[in-house]
Amino acid sequence: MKNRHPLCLVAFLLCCCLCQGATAAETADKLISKVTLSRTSFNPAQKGKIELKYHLSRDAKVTVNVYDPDWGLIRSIAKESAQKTGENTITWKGLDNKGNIVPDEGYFFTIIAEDVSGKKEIYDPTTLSGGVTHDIVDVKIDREEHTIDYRMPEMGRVMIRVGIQGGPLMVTIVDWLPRVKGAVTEYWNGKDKDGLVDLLNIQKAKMIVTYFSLPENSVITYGNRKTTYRRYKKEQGKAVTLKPDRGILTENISHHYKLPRTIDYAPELTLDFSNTVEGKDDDDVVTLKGKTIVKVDLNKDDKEVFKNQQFEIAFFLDQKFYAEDEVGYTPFNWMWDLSQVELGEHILTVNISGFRDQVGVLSRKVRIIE
Amino acid sequence: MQWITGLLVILFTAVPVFADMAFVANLDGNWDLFTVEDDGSHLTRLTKTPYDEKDPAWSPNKQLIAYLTSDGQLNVIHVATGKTNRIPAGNRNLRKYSPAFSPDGKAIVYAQARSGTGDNSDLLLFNFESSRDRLVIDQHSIQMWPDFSPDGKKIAYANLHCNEACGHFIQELWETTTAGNRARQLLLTNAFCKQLVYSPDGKQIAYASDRGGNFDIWIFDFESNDQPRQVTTNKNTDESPAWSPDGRKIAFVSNRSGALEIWVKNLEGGALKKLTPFSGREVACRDVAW
Repeated sequence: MKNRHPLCLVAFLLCCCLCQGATAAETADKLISKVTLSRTSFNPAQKGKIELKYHLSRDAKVTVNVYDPDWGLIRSIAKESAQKTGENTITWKGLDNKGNIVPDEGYFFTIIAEDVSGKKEIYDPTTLSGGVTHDIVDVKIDREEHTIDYRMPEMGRVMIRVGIQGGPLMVTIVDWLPRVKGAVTEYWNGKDKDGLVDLLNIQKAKMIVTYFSLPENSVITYGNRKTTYRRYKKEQGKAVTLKPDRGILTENISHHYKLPRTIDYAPELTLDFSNTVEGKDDDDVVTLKGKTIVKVDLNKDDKEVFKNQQFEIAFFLDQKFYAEDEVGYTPFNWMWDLSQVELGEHILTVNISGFRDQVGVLSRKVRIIE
Repeated sequence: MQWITGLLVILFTAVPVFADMAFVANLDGNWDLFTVEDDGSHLTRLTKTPYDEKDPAWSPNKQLIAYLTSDGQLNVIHVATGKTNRIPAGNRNLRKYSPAFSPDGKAIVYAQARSGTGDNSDLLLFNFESSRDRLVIDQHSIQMWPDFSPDGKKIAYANLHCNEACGHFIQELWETTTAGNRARQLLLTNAFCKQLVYSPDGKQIAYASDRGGNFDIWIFDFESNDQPRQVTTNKNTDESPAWSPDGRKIAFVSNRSGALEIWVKNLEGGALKKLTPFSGREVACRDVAW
């Protein structure tokens, strides 16, 4: 310090004072801060609960809302509740506004505080976090235990698919489900969706593990065996209040983040053949000859969900591309001329791919005879 | 070649029009071809096959309909007799899409997948007199939904710019000369545009686009060059527009009622009417041509 110019020292000290003063001013202005959750997951059916803690810099009337991943209001825990300066705690037991246990999913909170002067502040984690997409490359598959192990660097919504390079998608193992931060184990028997192909023994089989982050201070509930999220939302219908859109400031947002969970999933397909040969071998193999009509359709429930979507329909024979229609619709009745197909057993796989990356998969074993 | 000679005779013979609209409907488990008058009356079933028909396109004199079958091949049907023939266009091993007759009836323009996975396609012009195909334009990616301008000098079409890499599919409107020596992009919508059709006077193009979040009918006007006009605003799917011969109405397919049905909108007054060709019975319809 002996050799430093005295003006530099004064400038340095002045700068420090100004910065500290600015920080203090910001903190003093900020009504809501230090928002934390006691846990990242819990089971409401087993009387689990979580605590949302936050700091108020001034006395305020506070409203705390719980939202589902589609921004639907699930529960108003506090409504303009008078709260004191300092740390405050709100408990949520995983119930909705009707007292029902919420379906297994990821939920987040907003806090609206209004002080005595009428100044309002909103804590909405979706404006600052959530939706950022990442791939996970460090994945361990245990063939003996039938497990997939990986580590989540943060809470996120995960998708795991296995397909054949240059060929079909064969199975969606995890279809955009919420996961906590840390070590995760998924269960997979190594086969395609219909259990016909041992994918672990196919060299060209590739696995994709990807996720997008959940908004900060999200919590995942589990253990509800009575309903699923999609069924729950269907019963809610249009009678749901949506969180206002206050903008999303984060970049590199996955387009899946903005899609409703009620439509962003792999649809179930049906596959039928005409002109089948009866009485040949077992039920798992369809015996065909000559020409057949292959009828592809969405199952009844998914038809309603996907009615507004366009998709491609692709057929693969023994995991190799066979035919495709870029402009898909269902039911799709395709005339298959079997005279060009080698006799014997094959696996026909159908992919119906939505333009928003929902892919339905179905495979069938067929036997072609003369 | 004999059938082509017959086809040419039909194309150039002036005979009264029997029907207004052509479309496909799922009456008994697959999509078959139908015609109906523009008030929904006089429904006529043209095909009864176990596979699907799609993308009907009227010939200029309205005696023939070109269409696709679900094996991806081009066909033509004589409306009065019901006689069908395969059009020997393109490569029979490659899937075809969206045919459209030229205004003089001598050719059909259509899209054909390139060999392989089908993530690329070309526009081809099949001439009935020579029975030959010609590539309309050599362009990267998927070209689809071609339509001739009424003067026969231009072809408008949709070109796929981007797919999953962009987070959503982007397909924009383009226009080329029939000779294929020049092309220009007509719109920059950052959306998926499809099923485009010139108006009878050639001054506008109607198309379906998901620019508003779901598929609606839009109109691009060449003369005003303003932003395209949104014709339908329902939150369900509206697609497959078709102009009335006088250019005052647009028919389209919509599932706003819960089922895919044909609707007609009067562009001048905005009046909207649903067609009920199946006498109130709920039958899914699509791919309307007028």
